[in-house]
Amino acid sequence: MKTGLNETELEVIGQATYKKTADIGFRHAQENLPYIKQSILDVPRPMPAKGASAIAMSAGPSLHRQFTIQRMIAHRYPGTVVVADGALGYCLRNGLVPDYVVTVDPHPSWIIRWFGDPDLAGRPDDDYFRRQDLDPAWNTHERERNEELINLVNEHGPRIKVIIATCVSPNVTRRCLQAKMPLYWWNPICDDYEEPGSHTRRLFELTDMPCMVTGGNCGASAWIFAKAILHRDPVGMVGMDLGYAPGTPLKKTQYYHELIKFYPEERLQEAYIEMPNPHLGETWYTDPTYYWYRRCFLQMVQQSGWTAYNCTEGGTLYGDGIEWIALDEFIQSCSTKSLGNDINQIRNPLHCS
Amino acid sequence: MAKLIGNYKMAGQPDAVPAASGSEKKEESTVAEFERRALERLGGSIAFVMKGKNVLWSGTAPQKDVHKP
Repeated sequence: MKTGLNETELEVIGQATYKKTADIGFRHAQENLPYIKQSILDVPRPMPAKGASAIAMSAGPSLHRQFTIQRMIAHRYPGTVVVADGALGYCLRNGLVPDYVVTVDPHPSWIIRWFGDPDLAGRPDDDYFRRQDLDPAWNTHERERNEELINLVNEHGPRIKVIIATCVSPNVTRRCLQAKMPLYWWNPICDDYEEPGSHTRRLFELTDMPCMVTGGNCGASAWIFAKAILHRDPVGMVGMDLGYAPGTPLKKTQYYHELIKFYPEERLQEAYIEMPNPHLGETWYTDPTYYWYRRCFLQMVQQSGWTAYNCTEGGTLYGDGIEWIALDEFIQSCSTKSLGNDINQIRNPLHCS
Repeated sequence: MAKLIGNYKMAGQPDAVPAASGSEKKEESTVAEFERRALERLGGSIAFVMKGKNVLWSGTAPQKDVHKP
């Protein structure tokens, strides 16, 4: 495996992401226009009883490896919970109803599955969900799990505010409305909005919705939303692995089907990147796209001046600006902060091996 | 001028990885091209750009204070 990607390689992934998402995202925004009413600036803020903290949840494998949700419930975490769409099902199946769910990826058929897809039987068959380690429930009985998720989202949806990007597929919009979920819209900042012909500016002029930095993926967007719109502090991240645990088969990685088109099976591992995590004493690995996400996040933290508290207890997101904290300690500090404690006093390195 | 990060090409940024010379150069450029084509298939969920410290923009001048907790 490699030890990293250079600047040019990262640039290629960034440009590929733009090419993949810009045009389809604009078409989706046009189709979503009849539904676009309230913006993220209108979203109800958390009740004061929740305190100032939040947890931003991504859908990485540490969610189930570390029993994250079960521990949040056991510790009676009092703060605000903002989840990426990919983590919604895992939350609801385990008894945690989030306050907000963020959705941003414009993929036309995959994203609706995070909300329960009423038309799953009619979609082209693929193993995108079955082969992933993100949520083991998707590995088997996919259709039964989908029916279960439809019912859970229908039951709890009205209590969950959707932070929905204008670029998402209209089938996601309609599914959220079907479940009576309140929608709050935003545009993703995709390029320099001060440049002539800016894609971001076109989205803004089309929708009249505020624009927000994305971080490149939905989990990062959830963290930014908690910081910039809800003004939560501190915001802990969970499930933000951006990588794969030691021993995870390459076939279980998110971009396997793309990478295997370019690398023969016996050389496939050359496409991946080793990441020795100093907090865990373990070497995780990641693929080029997750490595780009990681780079985006580190850049964003440095440029914003915000501190990110990583309570994932796994993964590859460490570095300058990232405080690595055990989830139990984060929750404890948030629960006692109103009594005068400060999370900055609790920065013990995590050893969870 | 606000610092711009993300998938946005900066002035003066190199277009390719510097390669060695001769046959080694040819082989390396082939590998680089192969890897570039592979990477082009691996786009992420959504584009990422951040200008200065601003994480929000609402059609006017950059909102300088929105990033503050």
